[in-house]
Amino acid sequence: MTKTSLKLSDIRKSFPGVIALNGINLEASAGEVLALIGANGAGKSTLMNVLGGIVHMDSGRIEIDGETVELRNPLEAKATGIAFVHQEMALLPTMSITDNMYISGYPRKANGLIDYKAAEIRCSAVLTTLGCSMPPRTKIKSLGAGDRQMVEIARALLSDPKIIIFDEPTSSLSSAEKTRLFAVIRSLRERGSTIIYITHFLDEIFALCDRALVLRNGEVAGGGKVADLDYERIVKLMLGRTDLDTAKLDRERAGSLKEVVLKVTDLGQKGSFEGINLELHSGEVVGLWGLLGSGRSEIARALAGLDPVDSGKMEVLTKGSLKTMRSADAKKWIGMITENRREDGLLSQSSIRKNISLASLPFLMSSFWPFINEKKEKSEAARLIERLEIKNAGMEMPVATLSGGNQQKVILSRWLQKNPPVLIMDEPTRGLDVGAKLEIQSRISSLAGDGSAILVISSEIEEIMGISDRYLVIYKGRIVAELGPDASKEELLTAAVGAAPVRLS
Amino acid sequence: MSRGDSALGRVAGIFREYGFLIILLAVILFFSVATKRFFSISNIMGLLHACAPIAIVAAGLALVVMTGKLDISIGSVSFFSCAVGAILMTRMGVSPALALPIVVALGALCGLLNGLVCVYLGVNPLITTMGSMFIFRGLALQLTGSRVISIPQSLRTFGNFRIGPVFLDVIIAILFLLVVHVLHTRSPSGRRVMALGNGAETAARLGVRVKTVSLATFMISGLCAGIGGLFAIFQMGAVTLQMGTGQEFTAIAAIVIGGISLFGGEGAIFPNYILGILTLGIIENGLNHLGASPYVYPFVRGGIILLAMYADSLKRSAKPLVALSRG
Amino acid sequence: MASRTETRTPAKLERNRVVGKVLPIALFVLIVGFLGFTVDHFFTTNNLINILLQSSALGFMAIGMTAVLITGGIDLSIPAVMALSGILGSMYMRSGGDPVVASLIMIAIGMVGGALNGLAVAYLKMIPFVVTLSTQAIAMGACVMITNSVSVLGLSQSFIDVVMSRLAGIPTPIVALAVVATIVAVLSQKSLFGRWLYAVGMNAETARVSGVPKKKVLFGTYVFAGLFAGLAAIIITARLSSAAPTMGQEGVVLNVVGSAVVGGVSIYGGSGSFAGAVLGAVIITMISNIMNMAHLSYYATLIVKGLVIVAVVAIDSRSKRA
Repeated sequence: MTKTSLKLSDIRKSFPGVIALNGINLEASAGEVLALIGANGAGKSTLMNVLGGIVHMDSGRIEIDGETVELRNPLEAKATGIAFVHQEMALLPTMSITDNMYISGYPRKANGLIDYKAAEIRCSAVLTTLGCSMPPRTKIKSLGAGDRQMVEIARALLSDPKIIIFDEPTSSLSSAEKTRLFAVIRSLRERGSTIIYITHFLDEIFALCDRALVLRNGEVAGGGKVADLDYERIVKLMLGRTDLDTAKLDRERAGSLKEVVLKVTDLGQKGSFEGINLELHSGEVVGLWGLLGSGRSEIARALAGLDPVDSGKMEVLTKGSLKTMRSADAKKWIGMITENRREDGLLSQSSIRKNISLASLPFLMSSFWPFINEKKEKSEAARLIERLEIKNAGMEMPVATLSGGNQQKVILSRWLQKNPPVLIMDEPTRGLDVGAKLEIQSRISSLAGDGSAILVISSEIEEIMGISDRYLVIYKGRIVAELGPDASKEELLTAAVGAAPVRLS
Repeated sequence: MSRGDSALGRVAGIFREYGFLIILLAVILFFSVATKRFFSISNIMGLLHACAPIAIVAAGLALVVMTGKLDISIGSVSFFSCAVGAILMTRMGVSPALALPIVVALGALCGLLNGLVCVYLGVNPLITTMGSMFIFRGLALQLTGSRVISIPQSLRTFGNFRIGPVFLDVIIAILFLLVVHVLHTRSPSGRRVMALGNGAETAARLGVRVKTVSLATFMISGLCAGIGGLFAIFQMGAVTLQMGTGQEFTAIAAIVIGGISLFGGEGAIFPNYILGILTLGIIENGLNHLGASPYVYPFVRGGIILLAMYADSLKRSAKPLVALSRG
Repeated sequence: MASRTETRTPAKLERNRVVGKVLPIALFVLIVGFLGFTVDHFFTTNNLINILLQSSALGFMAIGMTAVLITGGIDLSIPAVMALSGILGSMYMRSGGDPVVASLIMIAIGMVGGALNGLAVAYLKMIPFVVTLSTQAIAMGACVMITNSVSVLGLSQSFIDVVMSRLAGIPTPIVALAVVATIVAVLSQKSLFGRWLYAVGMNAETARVSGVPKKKVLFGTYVFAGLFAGLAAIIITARLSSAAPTMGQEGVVLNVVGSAVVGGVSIYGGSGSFAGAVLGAVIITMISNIMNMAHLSYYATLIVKGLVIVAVVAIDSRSKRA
């Protein structure tokens, strides 16, 4: 009954400096849903890019229905019957469903014009199999996230694929939309498709999938029938040996917890998060933990005053007492190191010195002329460069000449110089090598030791465990758990996937 | 601040979607009441006749705008290509059968040059078409020696020919726009123009050849400028020094008033573009009847563009973009 | 204008920087060399002063335009606003008004125009090109309407005398430009606003995240441009002893943009110097003179300038891409 329709044998792929896939073996059959799980960097995306023809594997074999195939580009992948539903939707909002589905290849009439009638009939047919009743002429912009995703799926189904891969499909869905999605996937399974379902959310695996495969560090850590698995086993496979303890970085804790520096009540932003309540104390590092798509970055940006909020209030410690602050004023008290330093963290054309001083310029003014006191600016920059050991060829060099780790240190220096009471860091060690990571982590610790209140977001559980004093776990835009300093990996992970935190004996 | 479901929200929603139509009706009503002879057949026919040239010239620009770019050289391209044609016919005795296609081809060529510089040299379309606006105008003035060049009488007769009360060129213009509309809404290339306006990256991900589409729209813009220019000189019987001056501005005004967003991806020839042209034409015709001085027109056009852009920016900020999945 | 990803390698950044600084100087030397060779008495004091005097109003406008360009925007209305402020100030003088007040009126009108642009771009998030295209048309429309296309005469003599006077043998406009340009250049490098200006131009999001008041900065640059349009108006009306809508005609904006671009200011924002723009104004003026000497028609000069601008921007674009 179960016929192997997709077989990957010993797939290997390396990028400069990192082995992404280290001999992956995978088998999936027609009429089954295979879950693909793994932490960030485990190799899921690379494997999917190989299947999608976007990336070429270094070695290995792919067989579909017993025949070896080569996937040199996305068109070939599509031709062999593989379809993708990506996490990031590629839709054209001002155009109709039909247009979105057929834009890369319309059915044509004899005179060369588009045969909309045929296209619409086919669209309706496919949408109906998905349980959707939207008229094909509806414009995408008037559809909600769930319906939009249905259109994406419908587009993937147009080519009658044998194998359908869903990449983190539920990140922006409401629970009703998720239920509908699952019904759709089940019906696809009934019809004999092979479905690969990539996700972080363990509860979905148990609700929907037949088998599961866990990736870790580019290899298959384990797997099997979902009926034979449980949360703990999967989590163990994702993490490796559970007795691996992360050394908590030493920190001089000057006495007990200090005063509340930031108090947030019922903060909400439509479509991203709601009901956020938290308190940050000076001298502590709070880890904002959650999976991709949980809303962590949105919360962080809203706290820092970069994006507007729809409800709730923020209070900041000023002159001895907590005073309410407008979102727009947040920048005075709260600094933010953003997720993507290349996008909005650096002025790459500008020098290291100027990048460091960017947030503190009003404080570097001369007392007499309306000029910036460059001497002071340079000495401060030199001090910070030395303190953080930023390797550079001179502070006047453009910051683009630095390595990723040193660039991140520059951004850190910028905020160290301004020294706001609250500092939010979103993935502060992303893209850095191990040495740089540890350095930044210890800086964060010492910053807290000096009295700042720090909120850290990280996708790497070891990292966040190593630096946090306590944790706020985010799931689907809400804080679902507050865990203390001795929370274990398992507790953190199970809380992040929406289950109650489980403590292993 | 919740919106959308309240009654006020719904009215605002209707206005956003159909604002241009409401404005058109309001304008017609206003001028019919405020002036005599506005609603007469002869006035309406004259109005349509006057609108025909710009309607054609700006059609290509409408396509460029729908891809999210701009081409302000259309007036100059129109002038330049027609100047060449007029010189060929009048000074060098070339027959219209040869000269007219040359004009059209020249327009397309100018558009192609614009497109090549924008797409392949990567120069900002605003700067490119601003530069080419001056370059083509300069060439045209140089060629004509700053003199009016007339065209053969036969063409002038043709340009003002009537079938009953209706002008022939109005009919041709409507047919032309119909063809453009059909190609825009029902051909794959036309649909890809709209896709590009929704976002070059998304379009590229969906397999649209972004560079080719963009190049093509610039070429069509030049082509329309050439053809529309012919309509204009047929009506006038000559190529004048001021031909095409400020035309890009009028074109932009007509385009935005019809509800086509300058950010790209929205609108169509029917109804938006046609209504925009008509509305602007009516406003100017009506102002004429009211005895307004010709100096008022730049104010009106400038004001229209600013108001329309303001309305457009309101429209964009009112609807929070549904969060496309992000990490 | 367009969004930029920070993908430039260090080598490219250096090349960029070098091109931006070297280009205006190289052009300057080239042209001066050419003129020195072909024109008799080119290097006489009289002639050189003449050239600088011709460039002075353009220099002021170029300074204003540069501020806007650095933020990645553009202000096409500078010449038109200049014409309007010149006309209004002159009309005031014609009806017996005090010349000092008239000068202030010109500056004020310039700033009002700039504020309108700034409001639209910074707070209403509209596209700078189209906004300033519209305000340019409105301003020109106003000019033509107010004057009925007739030049405004009857400026007060003291106004003309003061503006056209000489300080130690050098015409006041040149001195004024030199002084103002120096102040602006120094401030742009050393003041808070200057740092903010370049930061917003290089990466507006980074600037915003770091606490730079982006909207205020943007608004300020357009008001600044308007202010300088007003200053240019003072000089031009005094030189012409009149004010007319033709002061803001289409060819002028080409000169202003050309001055900035040739002076090394990037259309894409984030780089360029005010001193370079002033040098660019002198270069553009000399190019115009060369074309005059070659008996090129006015139209041919438009063609040449258009080509120059597109060429320089194309080079700039190439150096920013792969």
